[in-house]
Amino acid sequence: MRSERNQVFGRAPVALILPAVAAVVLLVVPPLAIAVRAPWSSLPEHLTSPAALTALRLTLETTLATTAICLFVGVPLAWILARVTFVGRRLLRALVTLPLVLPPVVGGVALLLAFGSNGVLGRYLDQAFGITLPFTTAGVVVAQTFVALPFLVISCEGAFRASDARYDDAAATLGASRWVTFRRVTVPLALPGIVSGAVLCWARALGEFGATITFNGSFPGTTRTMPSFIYYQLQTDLDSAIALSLLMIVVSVAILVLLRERWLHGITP
Amino acid sequence: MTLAAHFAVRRPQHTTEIDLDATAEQVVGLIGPNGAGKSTTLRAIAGLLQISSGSIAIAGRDVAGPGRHMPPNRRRVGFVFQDHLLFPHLTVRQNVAFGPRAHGVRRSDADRLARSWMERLDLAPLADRRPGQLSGGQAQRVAIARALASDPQVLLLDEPTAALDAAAAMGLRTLLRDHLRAFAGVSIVVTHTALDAMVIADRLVVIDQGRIVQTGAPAEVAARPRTQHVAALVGLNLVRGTADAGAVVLPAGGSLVAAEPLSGSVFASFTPSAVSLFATRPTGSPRNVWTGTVVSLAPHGDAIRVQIDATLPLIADITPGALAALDLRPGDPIWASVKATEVSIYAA
Repeated sequence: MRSERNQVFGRAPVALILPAVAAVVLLVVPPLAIAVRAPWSSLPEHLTSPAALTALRLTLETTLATTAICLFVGVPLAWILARVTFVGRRLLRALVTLPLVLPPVVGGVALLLAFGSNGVLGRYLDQAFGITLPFTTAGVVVAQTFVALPFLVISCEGAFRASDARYDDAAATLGASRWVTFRRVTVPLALPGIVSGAVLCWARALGEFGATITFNGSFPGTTRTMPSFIYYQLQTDLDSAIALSLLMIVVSVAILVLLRERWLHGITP
Repeated sequence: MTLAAHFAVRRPQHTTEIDLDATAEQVVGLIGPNGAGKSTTLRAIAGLLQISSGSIAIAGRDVAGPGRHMPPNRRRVGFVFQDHLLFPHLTVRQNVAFGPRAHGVRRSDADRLARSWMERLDLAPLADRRPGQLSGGQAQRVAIARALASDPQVLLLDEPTAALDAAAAMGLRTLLRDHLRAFAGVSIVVTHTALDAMVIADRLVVIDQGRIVQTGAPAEVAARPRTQHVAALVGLNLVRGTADAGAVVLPAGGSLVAAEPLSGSVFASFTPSAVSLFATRPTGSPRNVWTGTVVSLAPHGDAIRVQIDATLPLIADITPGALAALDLRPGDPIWASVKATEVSIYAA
């Protein structure tokens, strides 16, 4: 088809080809540069150094906790946005997606003002429960959740909207309450969208840097996740930074492939 | 078991006002053109939409009324959708067991119940299939089993045969006839074909423009239709006019003479085969003669069905031999006549 189109209409115009090539160079060369410059022979040592392992472990723990929390609160929110009509729904959706466009550093400042020990909510958390979030591992999870949750909500809301709401009707006529319908019909039917939303959410949490470092700083073992660690290594041990960056690229590519598979083929019911 | 549905659903574009009482003894067939309010009626009874006024009672329980809307899951109303809406992620057995499970029946008991319904509807061999692996007729049978397994007091079927091919539709019709008769609750079937109405229903309720315009036994409704839609379904010519001792004055002009000396506002109907066609004005005894143009020609069984645009719209069935002799094409002028003795008239 494509080649046929070329034969019929002639070559693509240079005015379009040149900017496109520039775009590809910009997007593809940097990750390739990391692969080219990677210290392949000492790669295992860099990836298994105690500091790297600590950061890796912290990252895995916090991002998985973040993804779990996002699923727990995000799927219900997505369902409400998709299936319940109420005044201010559009406004709520806009507010929920704000962190998508907010600079992460600003997100970190906002989190400090909300959950810091003198913050709007943090004050009461401190007084009532003795909980302080900033500069703790729990704070890392909060920061990651703040930036990653919108990805999950948007993806799940889309999945709920795309699946036929008349299955909900059918379930109701069979005696299923809205809760039973949600668990046994709505969620299973939207599962592909929920899974890709969760993967997307995890990927975003994995890369989270700005809000985390603003809200929690960078302390080894408690708040120094992979992005912070790479940034730190960049100033002291370039090879280690490159090796860890390469690992992140591999993970990202794996996520991309996984999501493509889902988006292209879906799950056949 | 009874259903008392006396309600109105008002929407900006249309209003549906229904007064319908049904018992378990009779299978009710709901018939009418698209947009007449058939689906609205079913959805209101099931609780899938809110009524604007009136009330609905199922087996003496008020399920909808002023300031009251019982959600569908508590009404015990089964619904069979035109496109079956089987849950695609569940097997046939899980689909059928869904209702009992939703009602809190233990898994093993729900499975036993599902198995018994699958056996009754000859679905046992399909138990482990997914809806995507079923034919249209099988899927609709599963949908019926699923609805019945949730033990409804009212069963609503929205054009259950519409999406099926002719053979599957006939099979389902027979199955519905048997199972709906045996069903202990009230059953209402929305139909779009005369065949469905005749085979499945004991009582027909004709809806037109949001209102019930006729109820009666299928044979009676078919013999004396009161809407163009039903007349067209059963293949009758139908006109409405004012009669004076058997001579019916038609609103569009002209008249029609019947043998019965009825007076007042009447319906007059006659079969397509009672209409004779001529190339020139016929001479002799027929008193009902009109001139018009041929609109279309189509095979109809052994005959040819001719649609004619005259003072009144007519359908006529003629033999292929007559067609050859008349040499008709759409747009040709034509004369049509009906004997007075072939016209049946009844009070409107």
